[in-house]
Amino acid sequence: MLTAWLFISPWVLGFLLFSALPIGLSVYYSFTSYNVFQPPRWIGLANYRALTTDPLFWKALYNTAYYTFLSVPLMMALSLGVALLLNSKLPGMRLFRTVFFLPSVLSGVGVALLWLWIFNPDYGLINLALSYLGIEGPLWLFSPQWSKPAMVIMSLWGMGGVMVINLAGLQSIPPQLYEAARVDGATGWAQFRYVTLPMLSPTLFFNFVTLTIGSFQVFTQAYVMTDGGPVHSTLFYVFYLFQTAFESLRMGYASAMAWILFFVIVTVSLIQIAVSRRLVYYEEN
Amino acid sequence: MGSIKAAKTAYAVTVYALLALGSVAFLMPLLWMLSTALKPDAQLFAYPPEWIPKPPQWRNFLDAIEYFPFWRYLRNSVIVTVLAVFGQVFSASIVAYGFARLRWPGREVVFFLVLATLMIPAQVTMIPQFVIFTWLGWVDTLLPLIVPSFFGGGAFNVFLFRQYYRTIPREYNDAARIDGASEWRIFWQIILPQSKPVIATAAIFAFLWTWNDFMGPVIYLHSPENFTLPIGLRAFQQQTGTEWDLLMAASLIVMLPVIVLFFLLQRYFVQGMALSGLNR
Amino acid sequence: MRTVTRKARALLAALLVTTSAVTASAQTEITFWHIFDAGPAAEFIDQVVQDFNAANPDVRVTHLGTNFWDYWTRLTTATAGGIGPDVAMNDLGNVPSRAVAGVILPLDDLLGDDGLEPFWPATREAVTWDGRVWAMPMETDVRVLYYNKELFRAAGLDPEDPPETWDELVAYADALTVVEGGRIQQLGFGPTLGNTYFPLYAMLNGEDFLAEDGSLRFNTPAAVEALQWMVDRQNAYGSRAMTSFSATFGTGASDPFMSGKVAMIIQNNTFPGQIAQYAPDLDYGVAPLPHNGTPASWSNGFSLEISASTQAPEAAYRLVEYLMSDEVQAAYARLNYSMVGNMAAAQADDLMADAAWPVFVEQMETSRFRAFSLEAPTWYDTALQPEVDAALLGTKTPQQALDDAQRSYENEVRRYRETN
Repeated sequence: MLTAWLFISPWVLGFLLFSALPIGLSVYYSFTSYNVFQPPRWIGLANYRALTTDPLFWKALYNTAYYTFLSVPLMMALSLGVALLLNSKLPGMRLFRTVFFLPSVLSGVGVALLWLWIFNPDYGLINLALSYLGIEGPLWLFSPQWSKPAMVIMSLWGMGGVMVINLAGLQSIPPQLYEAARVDGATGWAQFRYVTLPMLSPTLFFNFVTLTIGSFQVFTQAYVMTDGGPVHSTLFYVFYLFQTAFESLRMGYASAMAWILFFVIVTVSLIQIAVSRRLVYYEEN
Repeated sequence: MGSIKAAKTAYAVTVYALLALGSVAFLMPLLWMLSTALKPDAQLFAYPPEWIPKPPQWRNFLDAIEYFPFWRYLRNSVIVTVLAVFGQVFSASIVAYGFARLRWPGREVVFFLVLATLMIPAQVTMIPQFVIFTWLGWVDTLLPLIVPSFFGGGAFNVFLFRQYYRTIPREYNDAARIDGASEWRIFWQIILPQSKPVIATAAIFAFLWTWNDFMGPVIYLHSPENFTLPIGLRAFQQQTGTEWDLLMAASLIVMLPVIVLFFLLQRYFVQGMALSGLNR
Repeated sequence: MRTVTRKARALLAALLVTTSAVTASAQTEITFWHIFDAGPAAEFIDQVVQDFNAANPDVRVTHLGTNFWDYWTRLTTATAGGIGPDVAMNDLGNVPSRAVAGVILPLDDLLGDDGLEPFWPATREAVTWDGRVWAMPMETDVRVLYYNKELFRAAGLDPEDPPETWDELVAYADALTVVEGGRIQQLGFGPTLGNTYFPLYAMLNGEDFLAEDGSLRFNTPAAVEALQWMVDRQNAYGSRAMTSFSATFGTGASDPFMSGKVAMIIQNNTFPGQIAQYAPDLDYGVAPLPHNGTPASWSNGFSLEISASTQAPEAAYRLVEYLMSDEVQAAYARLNYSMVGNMAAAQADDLMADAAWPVFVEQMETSRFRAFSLEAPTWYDTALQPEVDAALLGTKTPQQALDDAQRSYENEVRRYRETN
């Protein structure tokens, strides 16, 4: 028991020093009216009550949920597919791996500006490619219906990191297991189902949880590219929060928003963990 | 024999075809970046858009570096990133061990608490954290960007290591414990050496995140002597407009160290697990 | 709220002199934050600060330039942490927010006998709140119409006779627009292109959104009429065609006007500097904004403010005074075509000799700042813009859009009052 605490002590210390107080303060702020420059003033549940009648709050929640439920499964599938391909023992994989990883290296602002161009309705890469197939591409970031799908596509391009995690997980599967499966007569698909998936499940679970947490907090794209528009279609939750905190200088209201998001994410994560108990296989068990 | 070879060829062809297709999609935007970086001003907004710069302005890369104090910012970025990466990987690997390989009451609850810190948007803790660092006198130094990395290395990394550790069979620990080894020795001499894939992964992520971190430097650094590269990139985006060609050139240059690191660390992702020497 | 009267200021100065005589090199240190992080503007401000330091040996100013896009985050966190700058540039459009919050010092003492007279009329109200002056208008701006003389000639229009009313503007725009195969090749005028937005069109139709009781009102007949006009202009050649065409452009060299693709555009007074840089051969003219009965334009700008928690108010006052002086303001104006707040400096002879500058000065007379709302300081962004977007996209009629904007605004006000 003591050993355990010794091992985790760096985190506990860091939490107490750098996180506990800010987190506690932000809980406190959520019950106050706080414009950052003057001391906070207690107003009880007024922020939370006002939020329930704030149409932008509900819109932001909807936008963020839409984005999360669309991008997380797609990202999981794509990153797994690519990782499986890159796991083949064929020559040249090293180069391919770098190619798929490259885009995720670009810093947020640079990527966002680049994709503003790519999604240009008239001559951006995507609509240009579509026009070769005879399809007239939509207005993408200028259309309330297509702006979120556009952002999902953008996020998929940055899947290099998730793919790398999957790769590391795939590489740690002992080859003996595949041998044993082959001896038992299992084909490629069966090997995937009975060896790869279970052994990879801790990694997949990790990606599932972290991707979800991350997607709920999507921010940079709205901040740099669309300013929440058009017609609030890309008003993501954390972006609205940021506007409230730093542009309207209403830190109390923003803190209340943050804690509501926290509870949403916690709920979703707990569901994910509960589901994982049956699906995730840990070798150590 | 023939059919196996045919199957293998078909397999290889399929894999390469899919990868090539994917590569095209993934590389196109980057090629566009390169093309833009090399374009002369007049060609930047030609419609319909042109891919080949005529003539290629290799000068742009030099101009980009001279636009802001590149070398000074680079030095600061390197200091912060190298230290932060070391801190994050080292401390996360230790902390995660406590959550993965040791059994103790309340472990899952505390771990969920660790995870929960990822669920709070940074924007609301930004200001109180800033106040703490002001009180410590660390504002306008590189310390706020480095020191927190040594305290657990971030929940993301702890989670990553934990998941990985849990794929290592228990027998390792048990065998070593029977031999009388302490937990620390088990961690240091047995588990950690087998964790190269996750160490490499965590290092890449930590490097990537710290290298491109932008918010931290903006709010904690107040003197140009301390600025890091992401702040430098901002100089290309003025109120009156963006210097696209220089910005793309600079972005490509800033990308390079991470690419090099990734290329070098790749073999750790592909290293198979050595399970020799263990009787089942 | 501290009020530093002239007497106290003299006393403070005397105290400073005495203490500096006693202690060997007790310089007062103050910090000055601004948005000039790179380029000629950064060099300029560096020189200005050096000159000030040289002329005021008992004060040492350290300054920091932050990129415009990050400036506000850095300023807010630093101020919240208690280590904000003594003197800072800020948004001239929402000075009352900070006055009410008590984070800035009143600057009445910096005014001479003629009060706010030396500054542009548009800016006088912007720096005033509750009967006192809280900021100095370091820089303001104004929007005018830029037009491409070559395209005028090609379309058979007189390049010395730009449109003056909305009807004329529409006629000219139609003559200057070329559509081929459903795509716009050349555009006469785009209501969303350039440095403009719906509130400006409302102003040109005589509507400034201010109701009698000081609150805001968006769904007046004049506002609806202006929005309808804007929507009609946007969809004149096909809604999708216009959106695609508009999306092609950006800022800097990718500007619609400088690339010669748009014949008439609304831009502000710093535009000639950009044209000189990106399209030096462009044959263009500048004219007051075409209006629908009310000559008008819109201004915003940057203020100079002193932090309420400054330890050296006297030194800070001196720096602000210096930055607003005729010489510094005139030099700043020359640097970047900036419409500085100091009218005399802005109308310096060499500036007035420029072709476009007198038009800016003339337009400043009818220009105004947008209405300020304490409860909803970003109303133009949160309540109004999305509704304007919807109207432009055709998903709502202008009346519906503005009714919804009004409701949005009133909700925001109500929420502010509930959580304050």
